[in-house]
Amino acid sequence: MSDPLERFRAVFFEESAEAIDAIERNLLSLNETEADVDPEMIDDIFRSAHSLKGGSATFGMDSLTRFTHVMETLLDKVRANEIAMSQELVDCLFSSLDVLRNLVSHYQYADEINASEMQVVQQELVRLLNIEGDIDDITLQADIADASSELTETGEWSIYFGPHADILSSGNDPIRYLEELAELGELNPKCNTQNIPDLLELDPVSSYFTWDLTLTPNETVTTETFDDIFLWIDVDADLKYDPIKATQDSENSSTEIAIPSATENRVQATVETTSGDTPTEVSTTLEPQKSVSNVAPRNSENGKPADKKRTSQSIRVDLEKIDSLINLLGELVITQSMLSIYGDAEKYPQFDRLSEGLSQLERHTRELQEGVMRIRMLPIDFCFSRFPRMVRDVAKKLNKSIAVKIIGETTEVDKTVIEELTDPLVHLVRNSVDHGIEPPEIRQEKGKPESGTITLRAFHQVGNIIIEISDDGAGLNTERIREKAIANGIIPPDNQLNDQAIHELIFAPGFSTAQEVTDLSGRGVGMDVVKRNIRALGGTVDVRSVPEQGSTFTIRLPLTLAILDGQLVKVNQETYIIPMLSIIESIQTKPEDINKVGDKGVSFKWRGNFIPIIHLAETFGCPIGEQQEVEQDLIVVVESDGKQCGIVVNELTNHQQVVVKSLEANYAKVEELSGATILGDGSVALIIDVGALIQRVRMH
Amino acid sequence: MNMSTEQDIAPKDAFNDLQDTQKAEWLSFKLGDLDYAVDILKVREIRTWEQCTRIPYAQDYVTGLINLRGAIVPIVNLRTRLGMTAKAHDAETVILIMDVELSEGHKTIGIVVDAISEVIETDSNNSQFHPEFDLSIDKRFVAGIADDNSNMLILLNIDTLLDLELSQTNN
Repeated sequence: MSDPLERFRAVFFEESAEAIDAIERNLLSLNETEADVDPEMIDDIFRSAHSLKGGSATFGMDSLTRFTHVMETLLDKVRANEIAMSQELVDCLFSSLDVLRNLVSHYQYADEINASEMQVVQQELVRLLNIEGDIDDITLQADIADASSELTETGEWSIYFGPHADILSSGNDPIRYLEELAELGELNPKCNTQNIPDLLELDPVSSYFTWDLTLTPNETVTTETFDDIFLWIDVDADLKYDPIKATQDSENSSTEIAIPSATENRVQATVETTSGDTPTEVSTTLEPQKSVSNVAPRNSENGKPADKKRTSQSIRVDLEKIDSLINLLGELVITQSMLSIYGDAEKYPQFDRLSEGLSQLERHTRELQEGVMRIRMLPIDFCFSRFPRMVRDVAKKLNKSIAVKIIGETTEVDKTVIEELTDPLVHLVRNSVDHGIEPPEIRQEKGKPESGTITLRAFHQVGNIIIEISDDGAGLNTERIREKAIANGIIPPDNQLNDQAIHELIFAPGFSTAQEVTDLSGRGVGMDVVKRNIRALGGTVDVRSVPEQGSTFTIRLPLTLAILDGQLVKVNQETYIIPMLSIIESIQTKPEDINKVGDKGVSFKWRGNFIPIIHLAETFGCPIGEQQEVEQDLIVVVESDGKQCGIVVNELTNHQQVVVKSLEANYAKVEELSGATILGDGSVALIIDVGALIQRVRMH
Repeated sequence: MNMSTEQDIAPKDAFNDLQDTQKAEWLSFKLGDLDYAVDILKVREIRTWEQCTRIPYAQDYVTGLINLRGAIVPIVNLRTRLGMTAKAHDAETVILIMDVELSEGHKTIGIVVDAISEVIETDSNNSQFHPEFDLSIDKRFVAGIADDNSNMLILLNIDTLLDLELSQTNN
C-alpha cells in the first residue's frame, strides 16, 4: 500500500457502508411505527448521516459531503420537530440512500455517478425541507446548486457559539474554533461566563462558556465559511451566525444550522459579560485541553461518545485466515484421535499418565474446535436484514402492502451456509411476495387484513438450523399445480396424488405456475434450483400450504459444513460413517424379525410401521470377510425427508467428530456418499449420504 | 516411507541439450513383462504400497482411496487399467503419486506399478513418438516408445490414461 491515507480511506468506506446500513435499518423500523416516531431513531439516522459527512469531507469527497449535508439539515429539522415525519419523507430518505450508495461506490470503485438521480433526490430533499422550514430555502438551494460563492456578505457578522458542556470530552477545543474565526478577520469576542458554577461544584472537564462574537471579515465570508469551520462540532455546539448589516437581498441573509429548539431560549437567557471579565481560573480550566486539540478532528469523525458505546468490540478478519485455522484444527482432531488409541488404560496400563493427559487433550481439542467454529458463525440477520427492503420495493411495484416479520435473527449459522443460503431465500421470499400474498382488494374481499405479512423465522433444532418463510397469502393453488404438472408431463393425467404430494411438485424441474412471466419471479429457474442449492448444502426444503391461510417453506440445514458428528459402522471389513443427525436409533434384530422376499430381507417392523431395509454390504458390494454369518444383525434406523429406512450393519464402533473432505477434489462424485474423512489410524473412511441412499431404495 | 525420486535420476548430459528439443526425462517401471514410463515431471512422489479404502460402485481398476497427508487421493491399478491381470502386491510394489491435468481440471491420482526401474532420458535418437505397431493397449494412452539399451520402453500418456470415467458404473 503506497499511500498511507489509503488505509484510512478503506476504513472510511467500511464505516460508510455500516452507516448506510444503519440508516436503512432505522428507516425501516420508522416505516413500521409511523404513528409515534422514536426520537432515538431519528437521532441515530442523523448521527450516521453526520459521520458520513465528516468522513467524506476529510477525504475531499465533495459530492458526498454536499449531499449528506442536505440530508443532515433535513434530519436535524425532523429531530427538532420542525418537520413532521411523513411517508413522503421516508420515501425520499430511502431514495437518498440509493444515491449515497452510488456516491460511495463512486469514490471507492470509480463507479459513475448517477447524476440525474442525485439531482432529483436532492431537489426532493430541498423541497421537503422547505415545506415548513421557511427560513433558509434559498440558501440551501444555492448550496445544492454548488454556487458556493453566490451569497456575498461583506458586512459584519454576529456569531453565537455555545459549545455543549461535554464538548471537551469529545476532544474538541472551543478555543481552536475561535482562533480559526480570528483568521478570517477582526474578531471581537464576548465570553458568557454566567454558567460557571461554584468552584466546589465545578467539573473540570466540562465547558461552561458560550461566546457572542462579532466578526469583521477581511474578505468575503458566507455562511458556508462558517459551516466549514464548525463542521466538526455542529452537533456538539449550538451555533448561530447572522450578518449584522443586512444586504439588499435580505432573503439570503439568515441561516440557521443545527440548532435544537431549546437553544433559542438559552440565547435569550444569556447575560453578556466581556471577555475581560472572565475569571482567571477559566483559562486554567481550558489549558489542559489544548494538548488534545490536535486530535480533535479525528475524534469527532469516529463518532461521539454515544456512538462508541454502541459499537460492539469486534475485529475484521480475513476469512482465509479462519479457514486455514479450521483446516489445521481438522488435522489436530485427526492426530488427537490417532493418539487416543494409546489412551486405552486396559491395553496399555503402563501409560497411566498418558491416558490422563489424552483425555484432557481431547476435552481441550473439542473446546478449541467449538471455539474456532464459532468464529465462523454469524447471526442469520446478515441474510435476513436485506429482506425488509427487498419486500418493500417489490411490493411497491406490485401495489401490494406487505410487512416483514423477522423472528430469531440472532440465530447463528456458519458463514458459508449463509452465503449459499441467500440466493434460495431471495427466491422464496420473492415468490411469496409475487404469488403468495394477494393484492389488497382481494385480501379485503376475503376478509383478511389489507396488508399481508411475510414471516422469516430461524431457530436451532438439534444441530440443524431451521428457517421458515411463511406468508398469510392464498396458499398454493393445488388444482393449478396439478393441471400444470399434467400439461408438462411431470405426472400422468390419471394420478392419485394427495395434496401434499401435489404441492411438492413445485420443486420439480421446469415448473413455474406464474400465469405470466414477471421480472420478479417465474422465469422458469424455479423452485427446483432452490431445492438443488439447498440439497447441495446438505439440507432439505419442504412446503406446507393451507388454502387461504398461506404457505410455509421450511429449510433445514446443518450448522456447519466442515465437521460432522458421525457414527462409525463396520460392514464386513469396511468402515463407513453415518451422520449422527440422520440416525434415529439402532436396534439389534433377530433374523426372523426381517421380512424376506426370497433370500433377501426387504423390510422390518419398526414402531408399528414396515420400513424398508438396506443391506449395506450388498449395496456397496463389500467383500465378504472370514468370520461371516453373524446370527444377529444391527439395524441403524435413519431418516431423511421424513422417510425412514433401516441400514443393516455388522457393528457399531466409535462415535466421533469427523472432518468432511471432498471426494470430488481428486476423484469424482459417488452416489450415496457425501464425502470422505480420515480416521484416527490415518485410513480413509467414507461418509454415507443417507438422503440419497433412501432415494435409492424408493426407486427400486 | 516416501522414497526420494532424486537418487534414481541419471546425470544429465548437458551437451545434448543444445541439439535436441524433444529431450525429456521419463520414470520407467515394470508392469508384467514389459517396461513402461511416465513423464517424470508429473510424478509428485513415490510411496510404498499401503492399504486403500475401497470405493463402492467404482471401476475395477480403481483400487481405492488413500490419505496423502490429509488429502483424499484415489489409487488406480495400472495393470487392470491396461487390461492385464491384477497381481498381489509384494515388497516391490509402489504407488506413484501423479499430478495430472484431466478434463475436469487438475487432480492428484496414484498409480500402482509392479516396481520402479530408473530414469530414462529420451531424445529423437532413441525414441519414436508415433509408433506404428500394436502394443495391445489403446493408442491414445501411448505417447511413444523409447530404446532403453535395446529394450523397448512404452512411454505412457498419463493424462489420457487417467482421464476416463473414474466414477461409478451406474447399476
